[in-house]
Amino acid sequence: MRKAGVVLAMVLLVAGCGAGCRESSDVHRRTQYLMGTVVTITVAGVGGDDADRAMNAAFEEIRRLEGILTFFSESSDLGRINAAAGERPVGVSAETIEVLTEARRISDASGGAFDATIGPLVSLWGFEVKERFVPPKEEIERARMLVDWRKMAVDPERRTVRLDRKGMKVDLGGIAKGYAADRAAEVLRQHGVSRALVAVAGDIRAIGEKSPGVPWHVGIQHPRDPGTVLGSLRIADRSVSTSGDYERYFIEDDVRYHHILDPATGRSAAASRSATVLAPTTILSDALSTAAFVLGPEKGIALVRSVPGAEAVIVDREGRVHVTPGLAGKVEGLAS
Amino acid sequence: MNETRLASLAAVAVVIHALEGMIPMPVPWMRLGLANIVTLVVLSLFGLGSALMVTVVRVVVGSLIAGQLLGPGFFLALAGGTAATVGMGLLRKAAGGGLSLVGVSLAGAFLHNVVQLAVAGLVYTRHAGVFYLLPVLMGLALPTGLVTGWLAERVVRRMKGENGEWVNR
Amino acid sequence: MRPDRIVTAGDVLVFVLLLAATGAGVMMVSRSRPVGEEAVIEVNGVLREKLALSVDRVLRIESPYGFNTVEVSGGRIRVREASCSNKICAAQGWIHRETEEIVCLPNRFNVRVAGRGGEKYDGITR
Repeated sequence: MRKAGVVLAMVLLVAGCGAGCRESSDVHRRTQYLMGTVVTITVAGVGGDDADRAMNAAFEEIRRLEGILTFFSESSDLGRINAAAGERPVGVSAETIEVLTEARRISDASGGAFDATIGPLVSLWGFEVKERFVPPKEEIERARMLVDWRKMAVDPERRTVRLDRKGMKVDLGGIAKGYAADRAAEVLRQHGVSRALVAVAGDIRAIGEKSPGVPWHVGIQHPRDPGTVLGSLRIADRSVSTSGDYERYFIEDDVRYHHILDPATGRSAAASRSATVLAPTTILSDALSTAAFVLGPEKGIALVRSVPGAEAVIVDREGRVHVTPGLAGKVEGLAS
Repeated sequence: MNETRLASLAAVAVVIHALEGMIPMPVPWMRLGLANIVTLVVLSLFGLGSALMVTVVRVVVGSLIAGQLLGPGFFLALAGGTAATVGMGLLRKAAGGGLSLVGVSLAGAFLHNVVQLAVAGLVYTRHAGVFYLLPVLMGLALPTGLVTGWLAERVVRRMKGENGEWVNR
Repeated sequence: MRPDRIVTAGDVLVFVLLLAATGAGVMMVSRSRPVGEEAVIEVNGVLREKLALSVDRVLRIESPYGFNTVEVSGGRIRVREASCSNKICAAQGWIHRETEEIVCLPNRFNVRVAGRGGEKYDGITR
């Protein structure tokens, strides 16, 4: 029976490997499906129970924000603002005021390349629904006339928002996820977490470093090669977002129609394949990446350079990569 | 061996097979393979040819009763049953007196499970997942083979002891 | 050897050989299917949680269809408790290899083991 004993020992060894051969770490990672997308929170440097409590609270915060900021509910702040367009100011939550104030600021800075009142165009193109088609020119023009951030009045004192014209619609698709990442990060901090990565889809907020001296390692999705990265960044206490033409799109007559619309033309912005922006907050990186994508490499890089603490990597329509001077040589694995 | 005896032994095998289906098992499709006792006894007393006939009759009639004749289950049972019976017969002959029915039964149960899985994997599912069941089925064959072999050996000894009917080979 | 003894030395040899074959089979399978890094939990086909298997924890997953309490321990995961009537999911025990799965049909709940996607990076911006 010695042979059987040896075999048994080998079997146990192989089975035991399941637990023993794993890299030991105090990195806790959980994913939930929220805001219509995949939210992953990674927490390092605290025990499992504390990490769980903090992550539960952070996920809960994102769920709460989803209820306030969704475009798809009539009872949400956004639903009520849009329903009262051209009629009266609507009282909203402090969160909505915060997001819309920041949205206006970035609209001003980008000359409307990012515009939270893009709603009529978004609804017309219907990237939010299954059926996709190119709308008639006249309808695009009509919707485009309703897009103007200057006609959205945000009153922080009275906590009201008013859209000047009937048919105007606020859509926070280009900023809500970034804001949610910021808020979730804040909740993690309040729970004593000092090392974490919050990723609401591709909008990522880093709290601290992953471990002392080791920043978080974030890959930038390659705009034409799914599953591979263009390059990667090491970040700590910073946010990064990417806007790309590959997330939701359809191709008709050799033209790529995607979900990032240029408020100036009412059509899919065509100057870039993707724009990645680093910024101090995720609400900023999210909105700026949309603006930079719409503006294209030259104006986009110029915009990002004008914002303190912001950097960008823009892939233009031909696939050439443009990087802000502050980021030169810091994108790992980038060809050329 | 005459047809009457063969038929009645096959009938016993069918009945055992059916009754066995009623014994609760940790896994639904798991069986002790008690019907194999009959095969072993016949093999021991009447040789491979008779055992093979009993096995085939048992599978055909059993599937007929269950309404699965010519279904996937039927071919699996046929492949596993004949492979096990042939294997057991050859092993028994090769080992001479070195093996009791326990050893023969162990090998048979093992062969039965492996062949069934191979047929299921290669012919029916063509799914790599089946492969992962291999060690499980191998492992299960050990206790079931032990139990049936031990019971069969007891039955054979009792039959030989009572009426001296030793008609081997 | 006493004549009334049933088991012969040959029987033992057969048993040992078959046990060795089983062991070899186990090793073959173990090598071919890597140990998973994460558990993916879905309710009604929609992702609910992804958990690293490296951290022990107990988590209750609630949905309109019922609840399942999963337990991660020593790199494995199981359903510890469930509101369903048959408790088959809890009876399935621990899983820890890639593609292994526990399904609880009444609660439309399933948990499967997966490798960790994009492990080179902590996150992907897209």
